Amino acid sequence: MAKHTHDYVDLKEQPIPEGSHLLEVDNLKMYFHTQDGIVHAVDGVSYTLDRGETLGVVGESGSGKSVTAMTLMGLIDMPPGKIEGGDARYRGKSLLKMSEQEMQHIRGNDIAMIFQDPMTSLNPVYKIGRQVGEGLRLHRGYTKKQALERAVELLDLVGIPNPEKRVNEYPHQFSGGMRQRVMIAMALACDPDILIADEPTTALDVTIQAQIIELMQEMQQKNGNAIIMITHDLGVVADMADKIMVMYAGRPVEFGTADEIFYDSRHPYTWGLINSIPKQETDEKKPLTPIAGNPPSLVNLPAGCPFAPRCPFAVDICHEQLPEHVTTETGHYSACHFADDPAFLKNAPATSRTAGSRRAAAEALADTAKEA
Amino acid sequence: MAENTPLLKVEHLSKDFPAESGFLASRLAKKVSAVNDVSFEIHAGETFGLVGESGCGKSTTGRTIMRLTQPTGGHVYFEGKDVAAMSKRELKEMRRNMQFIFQDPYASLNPRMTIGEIVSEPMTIHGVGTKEERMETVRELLDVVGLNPEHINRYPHEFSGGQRQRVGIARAFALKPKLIICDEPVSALDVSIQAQVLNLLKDLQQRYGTAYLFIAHDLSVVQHISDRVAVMYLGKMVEVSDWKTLYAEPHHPYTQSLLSAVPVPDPDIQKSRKRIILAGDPPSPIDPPTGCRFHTRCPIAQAKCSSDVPEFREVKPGHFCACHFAEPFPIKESSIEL
Repeated sequence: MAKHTHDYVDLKEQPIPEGSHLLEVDNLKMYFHTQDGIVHAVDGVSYTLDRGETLGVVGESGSGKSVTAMTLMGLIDMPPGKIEGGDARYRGKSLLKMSEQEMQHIRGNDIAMIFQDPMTSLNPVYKIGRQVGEGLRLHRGYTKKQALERAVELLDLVGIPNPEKRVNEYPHQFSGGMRQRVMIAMALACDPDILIADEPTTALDVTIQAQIIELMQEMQQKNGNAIIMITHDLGVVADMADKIMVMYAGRPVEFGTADEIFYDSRHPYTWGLINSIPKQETDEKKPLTPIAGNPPSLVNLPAGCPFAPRCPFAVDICHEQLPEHVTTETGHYSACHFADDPAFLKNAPATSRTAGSRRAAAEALADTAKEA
Repeated sequence: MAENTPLLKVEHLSKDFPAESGFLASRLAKKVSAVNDVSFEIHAGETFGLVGESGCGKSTTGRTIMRLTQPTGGHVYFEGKDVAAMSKRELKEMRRNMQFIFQDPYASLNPRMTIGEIVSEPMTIHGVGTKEERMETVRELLDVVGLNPEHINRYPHEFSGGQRQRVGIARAFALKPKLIICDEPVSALDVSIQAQVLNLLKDLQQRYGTAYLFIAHDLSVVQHISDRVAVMYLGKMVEVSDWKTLYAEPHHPYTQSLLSAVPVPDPDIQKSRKRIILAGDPPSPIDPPTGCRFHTRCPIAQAKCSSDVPEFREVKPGHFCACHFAEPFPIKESSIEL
């Protein structure tokens, strides 16, 4: 990698242009061109993100949540990948049009990433201190000694005991939870604007998961960075995310604030996800309502709505026509033909807030519609 | 078998592994205490959940019951007979009634065998029926687990993860066993598929009256499927009770923190919950802490905990807990509001 060039001005030190957000992803499309056909891996993803915010990206395996993040980071090999449309702007500058050299300044310095598997994302032959300090030497021109000193501070910051001793140890001497702390220290070394966490707690036990989530939130409060939290677990994003994007078959099917997704969801796939999770109940157990069938292959997507073959409410139009985003005034959108039909929305699962306002409001709306 | 004999009885089961390999290993005193003094019973038709974090010994418990590894202490009785003392022939007969469902649907199916061969293999081994009869049973089983019986000649790679797990389930049910040990059967699956498989396991249990030993790390999954639940920590059973009591009134501080660490997919509830976040990692089972094995991470540990091993005592009828201070609820103020 090229060393830090001193005439380069850090993007994160430049102001965000008037009227734009820290990160704006606008109808991004990235397809893989394979021998079997075109894989629609990222198909029309849009969202905005500001400093201090957390975006939760939720979906099942193969829904395109990780590929979207990797596309932003320029980590997809092109070919077979190809940008087919849309844009992703960081502080008003398109990430997709940057040269490889510019992207190297972005990666780690402005946008950093934590991966799912802390066992394989650390290099087993280098000491922890060297790996944590690598970004600082590369982007900030630190000397070896300065980088090591800062690495000790960073390890201390993420709650690793005896950091002076542990910087000189190798990854195999750390437990899974401790390795993930090292990954967080590494990602935060250059004080990035955006931290992308790709299933950071999936490989960890539940008590360790709680520690790591708390640490990420603590670090965010201190540094004010934005977080993109990629996960298959709706529980993880419930108290962490400000906004949530639900993905299915490479497409965002619903996007809104955490409250909107959990209490006012407007897409049958989100309903299905919520219904599939066993509830912690202490009175009586109700059977789960799974989503029938399997996720589609991204090579031969069915015509119409990709969720239609598994959707219990699908009618003819769903199999024929791709639904547009139905957007409310708050920016909450749903890719469902019936997302603005109050009668249809009554099919949403009951939540801890229901029986209350929304349902009543929906019924009132339906009644007035009838009268009219 | 007498009327009240449990289907499976596990008494003071222990399993140690030598911590190092090599010809001197057995002479060196270092041992991994994977399972230590575990006792429980499973009755016919019941689901017994075994929950704990990685390395707590839950899978080793399952494997030792099946005698896939030899126990180093204690006894396992299947229908009143000691599994460790069984002859080869008796063991084969026992395994006909005790089957296994594995975690990884990719690794547990032979890629060179067709679905028909995989599902009929247990019947072939135990000499059940003629070849035609076996294939007929396979077709029925595939239908029952929600696969197309016409796919009998397909190979595992032609199926998705959830479908493969259905094949593994069909294989486990091929001999209509009395007990199935399910070792993390849904943890490799996506949440929508996981719900399908959990419902299937419940349906099959109602249909065939099979008992399950359900091993998992996911508390909400275990709660959903189990009649009784046991929590393990570092090779020890720390709490056993019926599912309702365990989730409503957990006594052991480890159970309480485990329950409170599970994220609830509901922002209102999640934000209002008080959470106990345990510090540090579980200690190594090579040299487990003295006294109560949980005392190094326990929020209410006292001097006694590091010296005396807590007794696994009955705190309420049918509710056992291994904690010196289990009653009254030691950290009730911060217990879980469900």
